[in-house]
Amino acid sequence: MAIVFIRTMIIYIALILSMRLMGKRQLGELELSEVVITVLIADLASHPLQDIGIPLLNGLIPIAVLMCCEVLVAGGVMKSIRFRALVCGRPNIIIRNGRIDQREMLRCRLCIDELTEDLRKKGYADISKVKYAVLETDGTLSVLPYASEEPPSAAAMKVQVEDFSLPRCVISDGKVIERMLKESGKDQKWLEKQLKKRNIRDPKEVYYMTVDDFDRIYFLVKEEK
Amino acid sequence: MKKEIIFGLILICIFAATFVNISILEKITQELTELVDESLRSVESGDWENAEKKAEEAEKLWEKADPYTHIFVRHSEIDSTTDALYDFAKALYSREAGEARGAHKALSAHISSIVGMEKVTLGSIF
Repeated sequence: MAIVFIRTMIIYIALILSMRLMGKRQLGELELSEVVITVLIADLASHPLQDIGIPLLNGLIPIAVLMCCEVLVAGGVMKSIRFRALVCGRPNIIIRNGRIDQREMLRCRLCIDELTEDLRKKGYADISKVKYAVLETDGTLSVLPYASEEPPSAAAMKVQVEDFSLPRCVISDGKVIERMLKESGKDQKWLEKQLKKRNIRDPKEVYYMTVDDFDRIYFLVKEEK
Repeated sequence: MKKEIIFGLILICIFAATFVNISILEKITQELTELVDESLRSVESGDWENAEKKAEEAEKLWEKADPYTHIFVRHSEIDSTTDALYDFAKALYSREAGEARGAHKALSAHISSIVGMEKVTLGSIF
């Protein structure tokens, strides 16, 4: 049992490390090569865990090799457009000027039901309102409606709106995040002052606190357990 | 680009390490084969004591290689080779020449399969 435990820990750390080194994209939308790598790694990792008669290296070496290949392929994809097209494919325009390109549909093995389902998910029940629909290389459908169908923006309506700023979390579950505090140009004194204003003595009493570039503060006190 | 170079080098290192592993396994199995072959030759010449001595040396060599083989060789392969080695020794202690010949043949097949599984051939790849 101890062997299984240690092996699981090693494989787990190796998987986390390899996924981390391969980049965040692995966690979200996957390109074809990334799907292949993810499925393979998951399968490879499970064998030495299930059978302690298989040397752990038989699982670790393929993971390391796949990780290196993925980093090299990702590097190649970044550098060369041709290589990118070869590995990831090209986006396919499925709807052009409100008309479905049936040849592209056939090429992408996409049936009309799947297309309409995807369009509905994006909020378009009427195909004629869609100027372009592009099947991206990661398999998602991007829908671009006619300008007349798009919701008006503040700029189009000539309305003055306050700009957006990313809030930074300075206290999370009672813990002060110094790095975020520093990043937002504040210090401990400022924090103490803000807490005092809200009748809080200790940051431990705060569940969540954020501050943005316009000094807007979001503040939530910890609930009594 | 630095990252790609590092990972490219790691890939090359892993590839090179697989061949180093094959050569180490070849060395271990070659020494083992020489000892058991010598043991069988002693059996054929009626020198049972030398045959036993060589078989014991082979056992010691196999035990010495255990930390390495356990990391790089399938454990079932190691176990079956160990069993074959003890079967060979058993035949020698019971002074059964025919049985020793048979056990030697089985042991040789197990030893050669250890390296055979690792060697890069079309058969082993596909």
